[in-house]
Amino acid sequence: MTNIIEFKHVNKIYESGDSFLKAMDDVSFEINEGEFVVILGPSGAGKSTLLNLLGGLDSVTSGEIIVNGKHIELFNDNQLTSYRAKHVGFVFQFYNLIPNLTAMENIELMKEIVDIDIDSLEQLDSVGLKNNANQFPSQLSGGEQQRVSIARAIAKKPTMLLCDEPTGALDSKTGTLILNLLQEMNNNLNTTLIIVTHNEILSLAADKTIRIKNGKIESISINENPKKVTELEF
Amino acid sequence: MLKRKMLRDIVNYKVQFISIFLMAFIGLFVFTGMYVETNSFETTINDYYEETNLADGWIYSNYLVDEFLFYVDHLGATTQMERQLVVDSQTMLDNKPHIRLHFVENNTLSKFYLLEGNQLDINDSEGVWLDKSFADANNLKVGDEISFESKGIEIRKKIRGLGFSPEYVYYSPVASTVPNHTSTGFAYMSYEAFPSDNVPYNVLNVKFSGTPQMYSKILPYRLNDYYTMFLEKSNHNSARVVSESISQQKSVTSIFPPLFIILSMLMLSTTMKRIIAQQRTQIGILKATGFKNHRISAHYVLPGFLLVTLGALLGVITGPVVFHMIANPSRTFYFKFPYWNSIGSMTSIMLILLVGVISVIVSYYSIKDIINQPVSIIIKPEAPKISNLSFIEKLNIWKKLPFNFRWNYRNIRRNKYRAIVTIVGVIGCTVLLISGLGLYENINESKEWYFHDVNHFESKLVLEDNTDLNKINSIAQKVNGTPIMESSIEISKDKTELATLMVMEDTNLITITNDNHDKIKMDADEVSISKKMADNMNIKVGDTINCSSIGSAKNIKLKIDKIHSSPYSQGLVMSPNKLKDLGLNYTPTSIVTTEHINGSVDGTSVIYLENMMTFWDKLEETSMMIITALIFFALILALVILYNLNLLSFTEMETDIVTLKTLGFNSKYLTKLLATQNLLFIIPGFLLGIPVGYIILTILMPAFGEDIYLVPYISVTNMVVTFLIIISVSIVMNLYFSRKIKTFDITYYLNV
Repeated sequence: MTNIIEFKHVNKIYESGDSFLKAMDDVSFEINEGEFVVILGPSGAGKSTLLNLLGGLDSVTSGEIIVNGKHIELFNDNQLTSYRAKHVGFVFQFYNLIPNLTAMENIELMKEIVDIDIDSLEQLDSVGLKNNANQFPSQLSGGEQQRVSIARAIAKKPTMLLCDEPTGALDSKTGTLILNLLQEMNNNLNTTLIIVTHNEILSLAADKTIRIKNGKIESISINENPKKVTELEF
Repeated sequence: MLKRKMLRDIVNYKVQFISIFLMAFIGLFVFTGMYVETNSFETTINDYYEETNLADGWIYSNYLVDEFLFYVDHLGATTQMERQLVVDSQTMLDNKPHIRLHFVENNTLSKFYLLEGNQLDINDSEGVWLDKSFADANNLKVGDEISFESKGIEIRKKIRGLGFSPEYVYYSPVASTVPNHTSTGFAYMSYEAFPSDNVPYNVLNVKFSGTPQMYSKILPYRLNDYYTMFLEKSNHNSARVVSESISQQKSVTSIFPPLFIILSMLMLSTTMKRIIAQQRTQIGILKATGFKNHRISAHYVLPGFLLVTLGALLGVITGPVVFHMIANPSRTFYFKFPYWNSIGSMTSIMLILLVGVISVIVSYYSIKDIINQPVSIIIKPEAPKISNLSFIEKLNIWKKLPFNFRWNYRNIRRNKYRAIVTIVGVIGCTVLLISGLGLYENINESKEWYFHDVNHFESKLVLEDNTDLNKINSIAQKVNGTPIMESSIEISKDKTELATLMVMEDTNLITITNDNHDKIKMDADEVSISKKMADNMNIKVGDTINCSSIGSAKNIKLKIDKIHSSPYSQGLVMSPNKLKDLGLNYTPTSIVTTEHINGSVDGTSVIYLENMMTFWDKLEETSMMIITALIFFALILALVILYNLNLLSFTEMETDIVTLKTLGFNSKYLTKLLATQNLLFIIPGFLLGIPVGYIILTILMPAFGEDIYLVPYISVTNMVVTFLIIISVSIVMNLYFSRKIKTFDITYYLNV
């Protein structure tokens, strides 16, 4: 498998007045194409920071982040925007759909930033929401909104799908459905899937688990026999 | 602890709170500034008139004998009367200034107002009470002696006192509209000071009950042919100019300041509502923690109330001071009155209270909407309102519309209240700017019209009274000029009005124009009436009206052949032949010429067109200053309103913008989204503002006096300048927010 993401000695320090917070401390790891990676750790460990750095939402203090052979830590604002548009699909805990747009329009929105043909109805169908195409986010349940969010994220065929606690706002049953959906996307589309969570069980379904604590990599483990999400008991 | 939170909230929302403060300040500053200034002027003048017992009317007659007085007294309406002898004189000073002398019988009506020296003594035969402005300009003091010469008789008197007269609040030399205290003035003396025992009184000052119209009707009934003219207060030159100045300012005051205050309050309420809406979850947390509703309400109501009241208080204190500083120098140059009675303290307090109460009501109702919901609901962010697809969104074409447009359409649909308030705000800014600039432009346009399209002479030689017609023709020949007659005439149809009468031969030196400033050709036997007067009296071409020269009971029927437009002086225009045909005397009052006449020609006084333009500027100075101040404050208010509305719009879209940026939308695209929304508000707001601005101009125009005719119109320049101002503010705001979008810390927003 091809290595498409590489973190090399990444440090991230937040400054606030005279105080400093080291959110990433010499973090290094690699992720292969099509891998399902779970990033685990307690609150404040630096999971979201890691995801933000990888997603081009934040910049490193030092170190290198190489994605598809490119050093994104050297990207300027415009290049980062373009990187996010073409390579990264985000799925957030609170869905972050545009309330003014219908489910279908939230997906069509991607046509504005990537030059690929998107069949938004087909995308919605892939997450089982074909019949909800003309509904606004406020008319959908939390699980449905998250499914639209996933459909939106994969519509632009990104290199990687970054999910920050995607089931954090959902009940366990709906959460399982969402995780299953993400795993299917990972399997069927070969999209690299990175999920930040504090749910240990999910590591059983992942190809790789990166554990973080106090901004440092605690461990990286490979799962030779990942299970299906539906087989897990949350 | 809540106090600390309140202070931090103010710091966090400082821009919005500064806007609230500024809007309350500007609204009250302009409102009270103009209101207090105008009403203080009116009150001062009224108090002054009352204190000096200004006459209600003046009966000019050479038969002011006991019998005449008996009849006047028995008209039934006369309540007080007093005779005066009023004569023009030259003062024996180097520049031979012109002084109007009043020999008074009692000094009970239109009383001399003493500022220095001794009170007017009705038994003093040696003293004179002089116009203080004249005395100051000519360096004369109480105790000095002064000589006057009138009709070959010279009298020398000692100055007993200096002061003002209610009949001379406004007083200018002949053929000028600007006071010149070095060359003109007035003096009061006792009848005892007249060089003969038999004082030939020529004016009877009267006070009466009932209306002047009624009084002027009953007067000829008893005293026909025994008086030459009855002048009511509204036609008295000084009282008329003062009253027109007040009505001009009142008219501007009645329109603009309320607009300022309404706009300010509207924007203030929107901002308060938004601030509270954004604090929704915090309100939920406070409520969940156990804070009582009234404490939470007070916590949110108080900052707005304090800032609004502070802004209002500052506006109320500084507004009248600044507006007085702007208007007073030019006013006191023009009008002479002894004191200034500033009013409005009660109104100002009421306004502060009103603005404070509005802020409390808006804040209270905004918080009430939230606080009365269950804690479980308000502790979460507000769910976006459910929308159904509108008709247009169901059409196939909808999908083909640019995303930018669709986004903004939806955004506006979901935030209708904000959209309406924004459009109203833009309408308000457009109205303020367009009507302020329009007034400025219309007054200047009127000046251009009068001095470039109507009058083409260089010099105007004002003739002495009763100059022989042969002499007039001889002077006219000498200066290569044309004699003209400018007089007053009473015209009546459904009502009676005093009109100007302009009689002249066909000449290129004065053009009779229409509304477009184009020349109207008039035949020698035609009579034209000015449009403003025709409209005022409902006179149309072909109508026959009655007219009579001042003081004459002879009624002449006159057919109106044309209607012309005159930017200054309203009345009739005809040829000398037509005047003679009507049986009236042709007595030219001046000669106009293209030559620049240096010095006086055969006793005439010369006035140049250039000087007349300066006089015009002076006459309009106070209004222009107020209008300039209005435009300035309209601009400031427009800046605050547009900034605030942009901020509100941005704040509401902030989360969506962050999401879009995260998804990979570049800053330029997002800036374009905001700019499109701004344009969607600005364009309809601006377009709707134009007709409203025009209506306001139309309402304001008549207030500029009976003489001045302003054609309300909004020039392309005005519209372009207004649009540029509004769009520039919007572009600046857009640039500001685009910088903000560029420097967004996305991770911060995503973690909030």
